[in-house]
Amino acid sequence: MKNRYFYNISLVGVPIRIACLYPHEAFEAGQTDEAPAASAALEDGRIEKARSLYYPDLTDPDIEYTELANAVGDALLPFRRCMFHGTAFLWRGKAWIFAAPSGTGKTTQYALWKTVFGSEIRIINGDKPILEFCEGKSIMVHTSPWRGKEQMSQAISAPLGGIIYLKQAAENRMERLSVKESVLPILSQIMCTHKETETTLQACDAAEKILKAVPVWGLSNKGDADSAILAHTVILEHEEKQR
Amino acid sequence: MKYNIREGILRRELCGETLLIATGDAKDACPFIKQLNDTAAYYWHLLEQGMDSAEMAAGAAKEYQLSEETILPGLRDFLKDLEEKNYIIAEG
Repeated sequence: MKNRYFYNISLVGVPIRIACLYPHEAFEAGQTDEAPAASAALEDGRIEKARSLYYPDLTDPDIEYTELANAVGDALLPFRRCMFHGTAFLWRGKAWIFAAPSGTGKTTQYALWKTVFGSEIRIINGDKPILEFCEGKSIMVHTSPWRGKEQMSQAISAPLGGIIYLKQAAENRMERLSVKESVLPILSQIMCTHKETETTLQACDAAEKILKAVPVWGLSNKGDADSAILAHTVILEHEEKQR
Repeated sequence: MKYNIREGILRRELCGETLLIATGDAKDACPFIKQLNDTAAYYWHLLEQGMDSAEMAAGAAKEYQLSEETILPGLRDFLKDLEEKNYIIAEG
């Protein structure tokens, strides 16, 4: 099959031409007349190859949409941006990201924060926000067309405050991770096909910038309200110390 | 025994940590990332120089001022692990 649908979308100021086998409503908004600076498409046969990685009830258009995130991730990396797998939300003027492999509880933890702390927080992006590496160590967090199953997204941006890496556990516990402990979790969540050495090196550069700029915590949690309260308390204490 | 590093395996230092990252076709053969401790990073450096296992043992013994008999078990485990994970391929 040949790509039949083409979208020219602006992602954090970078116009990217995305070529698809199937139409995707998520790419309809944000289209631009600017000449594309980069392109993204899946290699031939990628959907078939990737099918075994997904739940059997997922359709080919769903698989294409998800797989394209890595291809678009590649396209963004040369422009000092990266796509990051996580749930990003705005709190106290900064963006915070729950990161973890799929199914670990990122959306659950966000929902718990929303239940317990309600108006204090606002969603930025529920699945794959885009990080922009600005002058100095500042990293801005923006939404993207990849919004997750719950379609959580708002057109708000904020400087990254920190990343909370989640694990399911029998008890709630939160601790600041060392750089050594953070390297694999952070690099693993940067969307990249790793087809080419150059983009892999750029993904490593992005991971390094994140690790040097913001704290990373590990939150082992039961998926209950107490875990949200624990995380809220720990980060608040950290923020108070920074003043 | 001589080993060749699989094509597409990238070594990268990241915030002082040594990582092996599988790129290209290597992604289908190996775990995506492997974090090496200091000793494993040193052994990998010797593999990159094309040394065989005997040369690696001799080099490590000199580097760490230990006997080769002391070095060998850890070195064998390192090479076995990397070969099983397809990062390296034994020659011959």
